[in-house]
Amino acid sequence: MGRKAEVNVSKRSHCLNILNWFRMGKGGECFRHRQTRLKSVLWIALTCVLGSSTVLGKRVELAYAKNFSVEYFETHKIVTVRNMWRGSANLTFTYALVPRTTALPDLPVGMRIIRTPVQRMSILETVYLGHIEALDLYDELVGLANVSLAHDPIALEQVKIGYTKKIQEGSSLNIETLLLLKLDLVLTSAMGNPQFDAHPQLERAKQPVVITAGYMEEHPLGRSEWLKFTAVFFDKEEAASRIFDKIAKRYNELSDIASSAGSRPTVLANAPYGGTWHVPGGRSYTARAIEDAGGNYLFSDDASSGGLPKDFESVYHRAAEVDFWLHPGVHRDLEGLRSQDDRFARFRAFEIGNVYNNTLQSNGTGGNDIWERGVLHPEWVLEDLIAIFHPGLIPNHSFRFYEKLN
Amino acid sequence: MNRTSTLLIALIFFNLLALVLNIGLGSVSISISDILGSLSGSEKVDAVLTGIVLEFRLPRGLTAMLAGSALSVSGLMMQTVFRNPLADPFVLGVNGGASLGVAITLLVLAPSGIALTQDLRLSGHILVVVAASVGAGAVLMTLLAFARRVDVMSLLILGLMISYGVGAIVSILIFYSMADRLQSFFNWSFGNFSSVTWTHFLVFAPSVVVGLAAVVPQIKSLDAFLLGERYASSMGVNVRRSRILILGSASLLAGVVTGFCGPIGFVGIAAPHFCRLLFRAPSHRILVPSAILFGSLIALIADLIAKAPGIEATLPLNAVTALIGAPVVVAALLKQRNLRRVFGG
Repeated sequence: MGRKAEVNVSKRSHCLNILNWFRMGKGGECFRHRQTRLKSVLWIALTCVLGSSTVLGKRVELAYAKNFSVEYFETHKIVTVRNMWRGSANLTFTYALVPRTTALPDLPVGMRIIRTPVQRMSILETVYLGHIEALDLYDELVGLANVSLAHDPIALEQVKIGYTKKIQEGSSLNIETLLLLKLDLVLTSAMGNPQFDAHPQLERAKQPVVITAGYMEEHPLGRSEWLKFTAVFFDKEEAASRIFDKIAKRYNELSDIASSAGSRPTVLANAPYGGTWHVPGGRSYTARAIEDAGGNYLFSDDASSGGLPKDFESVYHRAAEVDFWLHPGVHRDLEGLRSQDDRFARFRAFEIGNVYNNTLQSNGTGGNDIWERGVLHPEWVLEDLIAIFHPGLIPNHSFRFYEKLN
Repeated sequence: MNRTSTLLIALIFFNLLALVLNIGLGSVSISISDILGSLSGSEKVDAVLTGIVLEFRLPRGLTAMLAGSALSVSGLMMQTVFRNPLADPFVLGVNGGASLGVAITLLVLAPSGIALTQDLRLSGHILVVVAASVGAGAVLMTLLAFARRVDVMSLLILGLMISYGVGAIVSILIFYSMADRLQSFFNWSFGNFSSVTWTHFLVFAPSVVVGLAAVVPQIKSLDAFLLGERYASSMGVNVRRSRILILGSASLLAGVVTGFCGPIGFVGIAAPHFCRLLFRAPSHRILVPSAILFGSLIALIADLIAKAPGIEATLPLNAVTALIGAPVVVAALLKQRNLRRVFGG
């Protein structure tokens, strides 16, 4: 895995050789070295204290994200991604980030190498647009997939003028477009399903593809902290750290405000399609966000972190008297919701008009900022949710992502 | 009472029993007294349970009965006209046309769909119903246009070719779609009786009833067709006109069911075979009513199994109908031994 940084001293190595400590009296040699010996001691002490990092840049400290880690060495950084998809067990992906200006260090054969800082990047999912906005990486964005699902206005403008190329529509990946772009980095996530994953093809074509596992994080701040992951490829770790610290601080402040609320209203999420209602599992991202906002998620007793398929009837049985209903499909008004299935009107939340959807930032073609900046800024989403469940706690709040269905 | 009447009455009884079981069992078991209380609007029954019985279980059960009958009779008519034991209600490409309509709606229109559905005030299920019906109707019209000019065998092959062609277009649409869109399309293709609410039922039920009623005057022609088209015309049946009427009404019944419930297989093949086996009489005067009753029974049983009462999960309806239907067909064939004789061979 690469050599640990070794203190590169020539004369001092003479004194570090422990045998020489016993030869002190011989000649004037080591008398001169006595001063350097002191410096060596201090240097050793410093290195021990700081660990093997701080040679190339600031160390990446992670408080919430569990699925990646970064190690710094003298000549390169090593990034490790784990838990990339459900069932990936102990599989990890490792990448060596080597600055362009240095020669390739001694790395194991087959190690994936990315040259930094990245100058030409392509993203296959729109969630990274939040990072691009925060770290101002628009110049480096030369390829974007699923443009119709993107919301970020600057990125879309770049696509329009042709600076950022469109890639891949649907499940078929256009390798040729990617090859022509001469990329330094392709960011994508994977599901462990060879039918839908892009990375096997990209690796075969020797493209610099990096898998991210942000979507597998269970805590909203865990997902947000992946900003630091992207930053590592652009040497912008410091900026990412500053931004994230503010986000985490505000999120925890809001979380405390929410927990001070007296009662917790019951909450239901999603809507059925074709007889099956996929409710978020009890340990899913949505469930977590609802609980943090002072709500009582109806299926919190479930232990899964994905979606639970249930039939409409059993959801109705549990949720007929629910206080709030979130994200009922794509609907933005109650009439539309009722026209999908008039039994929706029987839920108490519908009767009293407490139905909210995160469609305020939908741009009509399928893009929605909640999946871009909303993932980076869970404190904004949390604020919206608290304002929904406990309006008194956040007076004069204007919604960023959520709107009430009328 | 002769054997036929006994069997018909037994079928009616089993149908009612299955309906009651369907209303009582599901994600939560509801006792008979609670069911009766809900139906009569009694205050003593918990409002949520009443809601479940009246808004979920009852429409679902009735839909299953009507859909089962429609598919069964449709299959019977197809098997008679084509004199082929493998014919099912969708042999004229009805399913293919419906799939295409739904695929266009879910995979092409829906991604740009928020604007579309809001403007048209049609969303979710109704749009799918309309799309499926329009698709099925379009294929049907195409085929019936040919029905005047070709014979029955060619019609069958034409139907098959149209199915393949339409299926290819659906494949292309699937290829270019995102994973989550595909999930809703596949959900539709598993078939289910639960998305028909009372509002839809007001359209669904009369359509099926009218379709079934239209079969009654065709019974004589059906009997004649079984002996071959030449024999039929020698008996005074206007073969061309009858063929169009029979195939048209069979496909319409199938199309209505597919439109509201998604494609449901096997009921249309299995039920007629079982009826022939049970009643031992090829006369359609007996076969049609028994097909109605037996189709309804199979659908109710399949729906009950699909609900998987006791586990909070559901099975896809199409899988269950296949699992029930296939053994039924096998049993019928083994008992029959000489299928050619039945089909006038």
